[in-house]
Amino acid sequence: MSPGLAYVVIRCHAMRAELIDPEAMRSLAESRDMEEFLGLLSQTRYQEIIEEAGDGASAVALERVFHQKLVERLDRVIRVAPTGMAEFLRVYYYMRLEVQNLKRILRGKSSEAPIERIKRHLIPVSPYLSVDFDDLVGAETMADSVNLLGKTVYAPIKKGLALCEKYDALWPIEAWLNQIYIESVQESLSKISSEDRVMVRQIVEVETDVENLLSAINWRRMARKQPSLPPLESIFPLTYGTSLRTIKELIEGRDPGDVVRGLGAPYAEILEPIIDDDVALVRTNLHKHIYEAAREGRARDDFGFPCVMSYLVSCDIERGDLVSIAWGKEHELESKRILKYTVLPDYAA
Amino acid sequence: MSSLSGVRPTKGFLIEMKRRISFIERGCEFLKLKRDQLAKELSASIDVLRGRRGTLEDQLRRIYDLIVSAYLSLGPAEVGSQASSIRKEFAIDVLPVSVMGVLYPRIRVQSKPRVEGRLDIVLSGAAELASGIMEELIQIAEFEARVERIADELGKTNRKVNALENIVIPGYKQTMKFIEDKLDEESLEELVRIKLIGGALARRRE
Repeated sequence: MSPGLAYVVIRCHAMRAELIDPEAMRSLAESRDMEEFLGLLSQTRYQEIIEEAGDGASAVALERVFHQKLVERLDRVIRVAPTGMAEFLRVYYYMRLEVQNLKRILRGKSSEAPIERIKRHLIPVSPYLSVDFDDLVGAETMADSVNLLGKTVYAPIKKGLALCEKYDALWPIEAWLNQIYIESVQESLSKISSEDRVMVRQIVEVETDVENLLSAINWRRMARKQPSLPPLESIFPLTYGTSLRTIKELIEGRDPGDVVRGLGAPYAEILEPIIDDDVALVRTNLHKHIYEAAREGRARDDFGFPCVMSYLVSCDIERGDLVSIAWGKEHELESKRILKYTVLPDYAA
Repeated sequence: MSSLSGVRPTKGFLIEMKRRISFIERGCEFLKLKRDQLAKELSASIDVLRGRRGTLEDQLRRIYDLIVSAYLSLGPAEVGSQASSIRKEFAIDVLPVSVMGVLYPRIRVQSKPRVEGRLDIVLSGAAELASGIMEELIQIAEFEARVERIADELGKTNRKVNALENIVIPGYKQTMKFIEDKLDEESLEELVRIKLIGGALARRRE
């Protein structure tokens, strides 16, 4: 039984001290090399798992470590959260990680990649609503893996198999997985209060719309080589602040810059880098938007769900930033370039 | 004259030497033609290579930038996973081609990977660009191999022409001169001997 909302809020306040603050994150991004980065990181809460990973830790090994830490933090919060909130958080976070793993498994199966390689790319998290990941990875074909999911919430992805074969692509299954995830999140929103739903909706809906617009730009490129496009509803089953008409315009050749400028807040700001053809920066902007939304929520109510959500958003943003910095340091990139694609250092005083 | 020690100063040998030198001179002319043709090929190839390489390097830099931002944005595991979803691999066929006796590889693309609909937008941009320049990259590699081998052959041909022009042909000419001198000397000796014998016979008749 949960000790109640007050307990989880106080716990989140206390655990916030374990997070890497923006100044420290900037120092990590500005470290000279991997050695200095690991040295600085060992002065944080990552000390133990960094030691486990060893001195010559690679960016790939570190990414697993950062994911492990995120899952450990999620567990600590969800274990003590009130039932309804815990249910929502499980769907929002565990299901998201699970969907990412399912996509990675199905990608590997579709290209007949070796089992070990597929496993190497998986996020170290236990299955939530899916069957065992090992069984899915070990299945003979992608269709067999999809069949194994037949008795789970992911069963509808089977409908995407025919389209996958028709277009020799993976987007139909990935679109189904995204749709199932977003619908599950929307459904689980009923477990939290109506005021708290506003903040979560703001995050989920903007995230979905931005991903839709990015996907539309990708389709625009594909449309040049593949003139017969599938029905837009099958590619973009869910839209919120942006209409299918905008997406259609984007695919059918209207200048992306014009479309972006015509979008309202917060989309225009988030998608602005598209004008300079820096798509990766759109995701950084999206993460900044999510971080801001969580911060604003917390500013409104620091003793309720927003405080918990803001803590978990910060944990996820921290993971993303550390993954980018570790990879950047391993490849001896300039700090300026790493800082461009990270979120937290921007908030350093 | 050690180089002339084995030389037989006979008319037959001189005729044989003349036949050989005319063959060598003809070969040398052919080698000179080959050298000029190779030099022409080399300079044309270098010009093409220089122009194409510059454009290609710009494109490669752009692809590298896109890949770096994809890694920074998605993380190595996601990029690895997406990259492994590409089914067909880039397959090439290497065939030897000969130009003026110089063998160089000709590369034919057998199959190209299909990247459409399998990658995230951040990666698909880089993948499409990379896929677009792959054939160009292969052509450049082919050109580089060709230039390298032509340059090598040109060096060898040049050395052969120089050796023939400066060592072999002068050596033969020297030998021929030696034989001609020797034969002239012998015929003069023969003339003197005939004159002396003729004089002695005339004196005996008197």
